[in-house]
Amino acid sequence: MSAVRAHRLRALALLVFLAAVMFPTAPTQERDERAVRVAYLYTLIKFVDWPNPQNDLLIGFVGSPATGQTLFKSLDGRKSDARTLHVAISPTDEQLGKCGILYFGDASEEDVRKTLPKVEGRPVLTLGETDSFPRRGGMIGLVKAEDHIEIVVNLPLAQRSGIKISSRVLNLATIVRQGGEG
Amino acid sequence: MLIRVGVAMGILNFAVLTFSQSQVDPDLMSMKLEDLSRVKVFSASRHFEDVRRAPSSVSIITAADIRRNGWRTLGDALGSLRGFYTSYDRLYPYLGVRGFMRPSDDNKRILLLVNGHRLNENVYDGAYIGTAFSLDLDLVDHIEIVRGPGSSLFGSNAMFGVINVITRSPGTEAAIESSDDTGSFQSRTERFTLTAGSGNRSALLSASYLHDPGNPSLFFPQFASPFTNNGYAVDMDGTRLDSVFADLRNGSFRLQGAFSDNVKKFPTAVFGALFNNPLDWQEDVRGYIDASLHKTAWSGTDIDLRIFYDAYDSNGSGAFQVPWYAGTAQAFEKGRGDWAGTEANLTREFGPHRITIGADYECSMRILQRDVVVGLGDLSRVNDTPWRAAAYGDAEFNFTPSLIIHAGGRFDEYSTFGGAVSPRLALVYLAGTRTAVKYILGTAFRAPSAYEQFYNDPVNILPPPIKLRPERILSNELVMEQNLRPWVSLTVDGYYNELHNLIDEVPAGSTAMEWFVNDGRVHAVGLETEVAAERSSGMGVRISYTATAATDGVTNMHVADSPVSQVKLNGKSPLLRHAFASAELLYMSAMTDDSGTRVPSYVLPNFTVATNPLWGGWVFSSSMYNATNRRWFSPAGPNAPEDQVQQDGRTWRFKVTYRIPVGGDRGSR
Repeated sequence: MSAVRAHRLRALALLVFLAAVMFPTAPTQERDERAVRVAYLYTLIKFVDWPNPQNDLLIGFVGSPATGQTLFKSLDGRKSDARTLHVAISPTDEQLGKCGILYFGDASEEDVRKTLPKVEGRPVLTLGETDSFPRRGGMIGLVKAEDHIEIVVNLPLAQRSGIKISSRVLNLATIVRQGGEG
Repeated sequence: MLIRVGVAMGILNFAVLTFSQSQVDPDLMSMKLEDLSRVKVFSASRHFEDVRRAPSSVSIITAADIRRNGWRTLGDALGSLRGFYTSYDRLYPYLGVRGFMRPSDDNKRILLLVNGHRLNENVYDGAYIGTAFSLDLDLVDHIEIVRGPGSSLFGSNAMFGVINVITRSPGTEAAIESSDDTGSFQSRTERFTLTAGSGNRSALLSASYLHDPGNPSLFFPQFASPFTNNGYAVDMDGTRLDSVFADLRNGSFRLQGAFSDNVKKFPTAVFGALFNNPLDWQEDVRGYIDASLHKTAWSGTDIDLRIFYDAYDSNGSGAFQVPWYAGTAQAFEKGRGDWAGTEANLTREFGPHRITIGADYECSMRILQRDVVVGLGDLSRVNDTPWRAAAYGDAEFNFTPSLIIHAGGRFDEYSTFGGAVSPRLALVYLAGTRTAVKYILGTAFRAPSAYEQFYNDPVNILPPPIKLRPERILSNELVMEQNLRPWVSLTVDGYYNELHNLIDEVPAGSTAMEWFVNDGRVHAVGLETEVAAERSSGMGVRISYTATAATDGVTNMHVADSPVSQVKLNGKSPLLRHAFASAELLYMSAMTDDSGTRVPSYVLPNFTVATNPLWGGWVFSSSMYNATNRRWFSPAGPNAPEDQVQQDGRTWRFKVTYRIPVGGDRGSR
């Protein structure tokens, strides 16, 4: 290898390394997407206002038991601001009536179709994991885009139900209208 | 098989997760919303859990890694990992692992899976990592690389590791995707993929086409004579590939199939073919169909069932001087295999412990090997129908939260040579949330291939003088994985491998012919160190250093084709919000080839710039390989007239992908 080429390579390697190490941003690492979605859900609660706030917030879960279990272990009994969170996996109709949040985690289309109408028009924040969820009657999609989780919000639907979502969320989110393009 | 892959990785899957899923890390729960939006997530595959808990040294390559680094083949991707390296004799790329490589061995000491389906074929046992790999890399969701012996769960071939390529989920959104790339030497690749789904049903169908004329003129000093075009092989480097892949899912049932037809001209006049002759080419046709079912039978118990049919057809064409035939003749070495099999495994939780048991059976309906001279008919013809059956088990004991004990083994019965036992023990000690220390004692074997056992012809190869036994490896490995910061991890991995009964092609007594015998012994000691850092911006770097001393147990000399040092660097950075720039540097120290000649060291810099999806679905990428136009060589196998083969100088590729959603959904997800 000529000296010039070697010098060029060393300079390049150093540049890549220094750039990578010195870039000042918040820490992160590769995570299981389920865990990231649960963390999202927990964080989102602080940026959502319900018309009838309660001290206890019940989160209903429909879908994959694996995700449900993660959700249950991570959030059931946990405090978010002044509220205590409770998780109901595969909620009964009675529990659905008390839910402030309904999360569809890797749920089948049939489950979504059956369950979503039961909370329609009520102040229940509905979350799913697919891009299509917020345009088919859901409010928020925590959608895997590339290798990150992106928020997609059906804002008119949330507003109609009386739920207010903070602009901090909306600034990060892609806004869509039900059945239409965002 | 999914369960086995999960067990091999120590990463729980499906229903197992249901009952053992842990809480989300506190640091994740305390992140700001903006930081969460930048957290890089593993793919939707459910069997990612925590590589720290894996009873092996595991690496994961994601689709984003592949795209952002511009890797064109599976070999490119694997070559970026610590401990792995590749060579290329302009016919196939070969994989070296932990100081051991036999160029021209068809990578048969590695087990290659696609979605848990075994890809090593049944004639040569080959695992093809170049264009002959049956799958378009664009269809890959991620690649799981489990280092070390894996025969305790997977049986033959898993001597140095198991590579499981997981294809991306079809999803439930209908879309059409098209990809087109062009590169040096006017190469062109096209891909057309359809996805659709509804409810629990989903489908992915994909077809790819590659035409690469290759380097138009290659110089081989061994043939620098006026009778052999002064050493220049002209238009002898081309590749043509057609491949299709289908993945149909209905709930827990899955049907997948693949077919590929790869034709590569070879300019190296290997196996005594005439130099610079357009009749020198090799065709590999590979296909399979695989139906699998994953069921949670009852609480805490999972069952995997699989049934498959595989076929492989190898046509090696060459122009030869046949002694008893006037002038030159086209001759074919043909290998045709058809095999089918089934397997079942079951995993059950017992409190914090877990047991996996399974069995499989595979039967070759045909392994037909022929040598055909056009105009003269068959020179040789052998057909064999061997079978094998196996039972295996693995137990994971979690007596305390910080200590995981894995103990398992497998018994294989082959119709050809008898039984093989492969036990394995792994201890994983978790010190807090940041440190894992693993000790792995593993064994593995490789059953003699049909080619080694049965092939013979009247010119080159005699049958083995004594029945071939399986190759064996015994491996001791100590791994430490440490999170130095939440965004920086350090891995130190030391190993000592002993290989016995290696099957080599050696001179057959005093004849001018050769045969296969259990001849070789190799022991290798090595140390791999890797630092990986990634910031939330997406900026990241992975640097590894590997030192290996591999010694031939017969001659006590450093083995051929084994670099002492390797350095790998992969850096990436977001660029102008909508793109990623990646740099890869691969350093390989000098080594000796089969004939004892020095293969010079080299540094290869590769660069790629790739956009995120733009305007609803367009992705552009541009790559430059060997950017400094370095002149470098790969060692060649024992059947090539060249000791080493010069590789390409600077090359490039430009690629465009477009995804069109069908039915109103947004695309480019």
